[in-house]
Amino acid sequence: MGFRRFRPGRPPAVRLGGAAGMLLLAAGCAGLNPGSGEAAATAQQFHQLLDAGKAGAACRLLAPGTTEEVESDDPGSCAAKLSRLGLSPAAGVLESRAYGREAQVRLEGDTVFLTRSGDRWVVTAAGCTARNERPYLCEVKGD
Amino acid sequence: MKHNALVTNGLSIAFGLLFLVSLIGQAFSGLAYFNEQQMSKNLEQISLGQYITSSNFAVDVTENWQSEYLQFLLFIVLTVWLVQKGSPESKEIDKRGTESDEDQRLGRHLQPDSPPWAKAGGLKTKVYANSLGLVMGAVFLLSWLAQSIAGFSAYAADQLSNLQDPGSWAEYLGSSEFWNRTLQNWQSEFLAVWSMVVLSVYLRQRGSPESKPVGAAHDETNVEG
Repeated sequence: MGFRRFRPGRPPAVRLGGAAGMLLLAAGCAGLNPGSGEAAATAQQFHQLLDAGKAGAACRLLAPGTTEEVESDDPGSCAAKLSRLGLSPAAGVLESRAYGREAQVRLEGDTVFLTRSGDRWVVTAAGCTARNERPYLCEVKGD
Repeated sequence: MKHNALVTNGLSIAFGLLFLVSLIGQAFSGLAYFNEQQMSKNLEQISLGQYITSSNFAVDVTENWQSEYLQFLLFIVLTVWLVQKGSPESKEIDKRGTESDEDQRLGRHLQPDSPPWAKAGGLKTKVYANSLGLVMGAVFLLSWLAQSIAGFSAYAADQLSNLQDPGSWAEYLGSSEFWNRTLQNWQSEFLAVWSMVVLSVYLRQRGSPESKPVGAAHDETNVEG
């Protein structure tokens, strides 16, 4: 009589616990860098549109809270206000990191923050400068 | 007398159900809390499916799992050598240590219905003799690892939504956030075990195997009701 005979009879609770453990480990790992490439592409596209003078299209890449803040009680003024801000041009991706539903893309010339909206990334903040441990100082951001 | 399987497995069934109901409740309340925070930041709300596969849910579950398994691991292993006079959770004072083969029904003292790995001898028996602690320890370490990974992911996402750098997993392991989550669970587990060990010396619960018989003397050790 060997131990193998016990295996088919392993309590369902043990298998369920093992499966649940693996699922949670996978959930933890799945939260690491999900879609960081897409976030980088959105951040680049945002700056490309601004460089091309298409501020209206760039506004459509902003998160709702960020659009509200840019317009500041003047609905429909996003494109004009975004143009006036005159963000410095930024292009090449230095690093892109995504965790859960948030992402940070460091470009040559800017750091952009993004959040997941449906199946795409939208910009929550741009024109950002690092301030050590304190939050980045951003020219475009939500409230 | 032959009993229904529901009766003979009542304890595992009851706790299995309590676990599932609590976990489902945690999923719904955690989702509501997460979406409240999303709303306050003017960010998109998420579905139950997205929440239960998120690092936020995973870290909240695993930080509790690791502490429970650590509690049982320590309780199982430390009670081999440490005793508490008068506690039904302790063995007799003179039985400190891994005990004789006769006490443990090993070697010449094996019984016909002893488990196969107890009969096997050698490494198999050594492993089986410590299997409860080994499995509890392995689940503890895996849960703690999962907590650190999911916790880092949730923490990094929170940092990003506050327009701060996310840091690295290694930095997270030394962070106050990780150790606060860990130690707040550990202290409560150790307090619960301490309470059980000490209170069961003086207090009784009639009919419970976790208690001494109601009429047992306070200094009687290793007697269960």
